[in-house]
Amino acid sequence: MEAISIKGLLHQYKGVNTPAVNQLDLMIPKGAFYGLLGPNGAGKTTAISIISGILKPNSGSVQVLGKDWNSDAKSIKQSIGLVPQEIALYDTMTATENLKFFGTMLGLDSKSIRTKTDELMKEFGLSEDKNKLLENYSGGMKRRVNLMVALMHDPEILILDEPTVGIDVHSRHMINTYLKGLNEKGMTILYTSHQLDETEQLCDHVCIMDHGQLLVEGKTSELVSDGHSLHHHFIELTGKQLRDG
Amino acid sequence: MKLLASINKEWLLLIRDKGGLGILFLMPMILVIVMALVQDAPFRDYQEQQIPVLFVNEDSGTISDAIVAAIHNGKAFHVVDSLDGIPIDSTRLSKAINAGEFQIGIVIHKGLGDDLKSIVDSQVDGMLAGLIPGGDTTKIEKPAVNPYISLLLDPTTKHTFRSSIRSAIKQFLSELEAKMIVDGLTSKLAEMTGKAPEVDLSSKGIVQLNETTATSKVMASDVANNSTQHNVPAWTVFAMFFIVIPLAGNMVRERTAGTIIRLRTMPTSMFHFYAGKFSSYGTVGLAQALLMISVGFWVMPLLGLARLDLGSGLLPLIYVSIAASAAATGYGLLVGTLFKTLHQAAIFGMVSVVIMAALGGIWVPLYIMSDSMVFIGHLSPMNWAMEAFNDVFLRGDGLIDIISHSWNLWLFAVICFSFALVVENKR
Repeated sequence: MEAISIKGLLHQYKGVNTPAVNQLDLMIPKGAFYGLLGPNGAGKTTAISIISGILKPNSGSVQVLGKDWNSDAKSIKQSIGLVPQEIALYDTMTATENLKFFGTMLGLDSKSIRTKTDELMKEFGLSEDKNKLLENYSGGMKRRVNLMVALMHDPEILILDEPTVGIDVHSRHMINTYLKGLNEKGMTILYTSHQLDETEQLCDHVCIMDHGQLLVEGKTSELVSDGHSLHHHFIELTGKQLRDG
Repeated sequence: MKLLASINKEWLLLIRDKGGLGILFLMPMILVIVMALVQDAPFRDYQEQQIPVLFVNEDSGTISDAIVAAIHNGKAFHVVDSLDGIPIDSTRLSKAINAGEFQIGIVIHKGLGDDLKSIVDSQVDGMLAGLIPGGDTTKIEKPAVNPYISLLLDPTTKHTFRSSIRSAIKQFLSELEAKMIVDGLTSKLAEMTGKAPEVDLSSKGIVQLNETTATSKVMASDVANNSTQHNVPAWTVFAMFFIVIPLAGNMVRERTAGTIIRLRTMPTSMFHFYAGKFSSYGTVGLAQALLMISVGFWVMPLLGLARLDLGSGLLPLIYVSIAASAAATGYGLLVGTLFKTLHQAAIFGMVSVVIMAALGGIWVPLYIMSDSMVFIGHLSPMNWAMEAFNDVFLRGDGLIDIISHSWNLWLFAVICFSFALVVENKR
């Protein structure tokens, strides 16, 4: 069974002439570490938002673990963990309080929340800072907590939207190592990033999209088997035109 | 469980924002005190205030002396007839009023007493000629005089103030004229009959005005008419609705920070999120109301204002505070849901509250507005809230009456809450 199956996905924002996602088809195998790549405005975040149930597409279908968002939303929500691009946390709460709040909203009981909080704090090296307000954390520490929230309920699928933006090498290394470990234990990971070398190392599957459409998809090893890096293929497929304007 | 977690989260965010919390409680408290102090004067009788009046008497004689004495003796005015130790004339008086140094000036022109006396005499003669058999009223000469007192007013004085001054002056002039006519008649009758009739001209008049305030509870008119009793409810409502701004701001911040998006990916209903905010901010609103009422009860007497009378009691008061707070919080949730940026939410929230307050009679009573404005004013939730507070503070209504009157506040809260939830779920 595919972890995520997308067929003919189309979504166009109001007031915009071109679709953000245009007839997108994707098959993400269960247990894959899947890199969703593309330049700014390619439609990555829109695709992730639709997969996570935040956005409803204009047309097309999305199945998560064989379930449809229209009929099994609650079940799908229990199976996915989303790490948004923003630090989606409460700055004037401690890491423990944030985890407790989101854990409760995920439907976990107090005991599970305590156990999982202690475990994650330890694994992410934040045990000593667990009672500090988040506003006193560094960017890297906040990114770690941002990821920890998504892991509170041990989701089958973890969706990360540029999880290592703006953090130092050590924090990035820690996060990536942890993600690799989760994937090895069987968790499906859907990951977007602009760090192509990092993606090449982490992901066993990648797809490159642009202008809302899929340009290439496959196993990372097969894509780079011609001796060229992922970075080379990315530029070849998407061009050299600047996209950050 | 989820609702409790949501409430707990809101409380943690609220209590850790010390500055925001200070503003939430301190600013309304200052507002209600300042407004009660500022509006204290219009609630006092002008006669209590001894308004300074520039006064020039160009006339001499017993009648003008009587007018001067009436003005001096009246409680309404504090007569000023010299400036810097120099007696003023009408030119100096005009200059002082024009410069805004004084609001009112009165000039009694030369010959006023004589002119007035000649008119009164003519009227008395005319009356007697009409009564006496064979009397000829056509032979009575009407004096060609037009006596008047000049009243000079600063252009900045308000219409209601001018009316009060005009009424006070006209009242004692009418009394003086009536007395002169009666004196003239009695003296003429004494001449004709050799016997002076006794007339008791009571200064209070014959028909008395018995003024009471129509409240369910017997309430002294000084309580019903003091600044504290009117201003505390009005400005409490105004301040409570200002919770729209921090609440809407909090919601917009959650949206931009991504916490709402994160919650939407979780197996939980947005109802818990909204209900958590509603109950937390609703409690803040209730605390604001109770604080402002406490200020009216304990602090205002220390500032020389009347103590707030709790009207029909604490229970109805708490009920109304909860209902008003629910309406204000519901509105805040809706504004916070509809607007995407902090800027939009803050400006719309603030302006809409000011408009609702203006329409709802917070600043100017609805009963002096036009019919169409009264109709619109009755659609303002702030008017409903103020009227509910007035039911407690001024009309002395009981809890049952108040529950039946304030259903619209709850309906407004439920509609705002539900609409906000529907909009959020549709996103």
